[in-house]
Amino acid sequence: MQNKPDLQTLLRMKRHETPGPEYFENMLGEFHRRQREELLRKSAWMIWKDQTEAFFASIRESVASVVLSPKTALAGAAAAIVLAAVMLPKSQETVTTLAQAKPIAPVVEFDNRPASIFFSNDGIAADLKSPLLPVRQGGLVFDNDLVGVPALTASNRVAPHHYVAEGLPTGSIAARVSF
Amino acid sequence: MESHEPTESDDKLLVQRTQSGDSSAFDALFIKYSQRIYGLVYHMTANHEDSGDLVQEVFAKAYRSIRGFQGKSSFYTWLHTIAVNMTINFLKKRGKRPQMSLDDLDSGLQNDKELAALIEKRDPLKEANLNDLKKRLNEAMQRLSHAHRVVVTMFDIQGMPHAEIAKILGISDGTVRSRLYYAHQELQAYLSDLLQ
Repeated sequence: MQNKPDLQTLLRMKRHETPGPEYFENMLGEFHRRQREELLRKSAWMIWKDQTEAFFASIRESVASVVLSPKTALAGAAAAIVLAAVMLPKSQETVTTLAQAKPIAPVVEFDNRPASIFFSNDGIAADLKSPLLPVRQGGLVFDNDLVGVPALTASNRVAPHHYVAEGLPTGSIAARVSF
Repeated sequence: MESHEPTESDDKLLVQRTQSGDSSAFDALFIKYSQRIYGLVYHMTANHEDSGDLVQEVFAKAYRSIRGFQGKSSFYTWLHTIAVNMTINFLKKRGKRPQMSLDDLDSGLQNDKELAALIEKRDPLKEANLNDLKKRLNEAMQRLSHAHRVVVTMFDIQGMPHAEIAKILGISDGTVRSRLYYAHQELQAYLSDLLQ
């Protein structure tokens, strides 16, 4: 090259290194697309997070009610002995009462199907097709059972939910956990 | 040299509207500054694709953070600060591997007398020389430290005044001048065979 530039001239050449105007015209559209994607990602993440937190909260509640600390277990055992001692003389009197009593809820076999866990207040099993909470005795209802089930009544609700899933009313936990 | 005063009040209004929830106001800021931010990022990275992604990330970050923008500096300065910081972080992660993907030279080159003289005869040899020149210049820029490259980009390429560069980088005027001096010395050394 016959004419050698100075450094400033050469650096000025870099100002002209630029994509065409159509590149910048498309940039705003690209920005909007990315914003929408981020919003969708956030929404899915928030839903998953809330559902997972609610699920584990209900697990914790049910475990806490079953698992007792040693102190509480001892106190409970002592109370049971006292109660037995008091109740034993009366047992003969209550024969007819027991015969009329409600049956004890049978143990429900657990399997590994995805499930929502909740308990009814009175332990009465309801017809799955009824408008009331379709609770089996023992309180375990599987997701497959809940398709098309209407909203729960307030007395049977365990934990509030923030999101509507698959068109079910807000507050219903008759929702699928999986996405 | 851009006059910032009239645009600063426009920017204030657009920022306030964005903060109130008017996303079209932010679109206006995007359109106003995207080309400039692209230039800053591109001359730092010498990579067209990375620059496009980084510009999007800069504006996404600005949009997310705009509620916290208190107007202590101009929006222009604030946005450039975000761009510089994100670009330098990107370059640190990229490491020293040169990954140049250069933009073409636009037709505005013809309007610069001195530059036009470099390409006065449009023959294949001259074109090759011009591309070689562009490549050598970018390679030399990539050999500068991030601190030196950013002042050269802002002053020599984008034409910003020392005071504005100092505000964006959070350094003194004197430091800007001193970094420019050393950066120019380095570039002269790398490009000695091409320069006067």
